[in-house]
Formats: sequence, C-alpha cells, structure tokens
Amino acid sequence: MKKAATKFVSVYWFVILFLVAGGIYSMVYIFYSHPFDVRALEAKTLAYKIADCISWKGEINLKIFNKSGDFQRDFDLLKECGINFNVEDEYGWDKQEQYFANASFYGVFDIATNHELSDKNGKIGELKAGNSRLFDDCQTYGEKYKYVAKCFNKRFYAVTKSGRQILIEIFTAVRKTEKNVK
Amino acid sequence: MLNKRADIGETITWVIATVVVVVILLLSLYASGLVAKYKKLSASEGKVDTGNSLIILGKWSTMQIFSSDLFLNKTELALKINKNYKQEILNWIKEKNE
Repeated sequence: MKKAATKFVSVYWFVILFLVAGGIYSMVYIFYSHPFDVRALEAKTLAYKIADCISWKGEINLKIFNKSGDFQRDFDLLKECGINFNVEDEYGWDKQEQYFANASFYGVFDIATNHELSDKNGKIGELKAGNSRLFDDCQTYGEKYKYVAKCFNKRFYAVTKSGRQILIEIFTAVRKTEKNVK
Repeated sequence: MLNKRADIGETITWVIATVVVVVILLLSLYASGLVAKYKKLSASEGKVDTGNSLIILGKWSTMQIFSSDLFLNKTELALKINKNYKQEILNWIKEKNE
C-alpha cells in the first residue's frame, strides 16, 4: 500500500513538473508570437530617406528643380533616392506593392497672395512611387483599423539653387500587415 | 481511523496545492498575453516598449536620428538661405506637423 502511494506521488510530481514547464513554454510562446508593429517606424524612415534625397542643407536636389528653378516631372523617386520597394515577395506582396511614397511641392508665393496651398494653384508638382491605393488606408484611425497601412506625413521648407522658395509635403505608407499585426 | 483522517488531510493539501499551481499558471499565461498585445515600438522615440521594459534601438547616433526632428532641421537650414515669408512658412508647416 505504501509502495503504491509513493509511486502515485512520483507520478504526481512529474505531472506538476510538466505542467509548470508547459506553462512557462506557453508564456514565452504567447509573448514572442505577437510581432512588433514596425510599420510606423518604417514609414518614418522612408520619409526621412526621401527628405534627404529631396533637400540637403536647405537646398533642393538639382534634378528635381533645375538651375532655372523649373520642376522636373520625370524625376524617378525610387531610382534617384536609391529606394527599392520590391524587397519581399512573401504573402503575394510581389503582386501588390506594400509601400507608397509621395512628395508634393508648393510655391511659397501662394501664401503671400492668400491662395489655398492645398489648391491646385499652389501646387507646383508631385513625385509618386509605389501603391497609391494605400493612401486611402491612412484616412482611418483606431484599433479596428490596425490591419490597414500605417502612414507618415510631414512638411518642410527648402530653397532651389535659383533661390525659389518651395514648401514640401512628404507622405509615406507601409502596409505589410501580415508580418506586423496579429 | 486516525490514519484515514491523516490521509484525507494530506490529499486535500495536495489537491489545493495543485489548484494553486494551475491558477498561478493560468494567470501568468493571461498576463503574458496582455503584455504581448501591448508591446509596441515608439516611432517618435526609436524605443521598443516591451510592456515591462524599454529598449533603446541601436547606437546613440540612431537614437539621435529618431529623437530629433529632421524635417525641422531641414526647414531651419533653408530659412538661413532665404527667410522671406518665414512666419507663413512656419505656420503652413505647423498646420500638419502638430
């Protein structure tokens, strides 16, 4: 009888041991299976990269506004800024681009004449790259919209070589939901 | 009879101990789920908030990039070249960046 009890206690200890070990394993698994959402940081980094490509030490890239201050529409944002959007082809991302970048250029002169800057009159031009459908995703906020793209939007000021004052608005969006949200 | 009572008492102790272990494990599992859900990267500061600790990303230079406003620096440099309509320019920038 005593022998049977000792055997039972040993089994019981093993069960508890496995239970605790399984619990610790589950805790670690639960914690690390939730991915960090780096999309906002990625969108910000992308915007920084584009801003550096557009303006350096306060002056706009000569390939965007030439010596006489004319906007160059054929400027290739990706090629000239050394950006590659097709880096991952998991989850069918090669068919649907996961990034969007836009740089809009406005003339300062329009402020002086009280023109609405968002108006077409104030806009000199814009440079785009990537999936423009991601732009709409960024008009939504809140927890239930965490599966849509994360965006970053900033404005700054720069001057062309010819001295023309330009206002620049940069907008970037990163989707990659499958890897960042669970 | 006395021996039987002692056995029952001991069994109850073991059962309660098992229940306590299971409850503590379940609570820990739930807590790790909650912490995992709210761990996040702070895009404005270049820091990782793991829920219970804060990790600074990369070296100091990387940290500086994320903590300083690169766009504001660019504007300040451009204003040194041409500061006409300075207030209007700053107002336009502020409109979006705030």
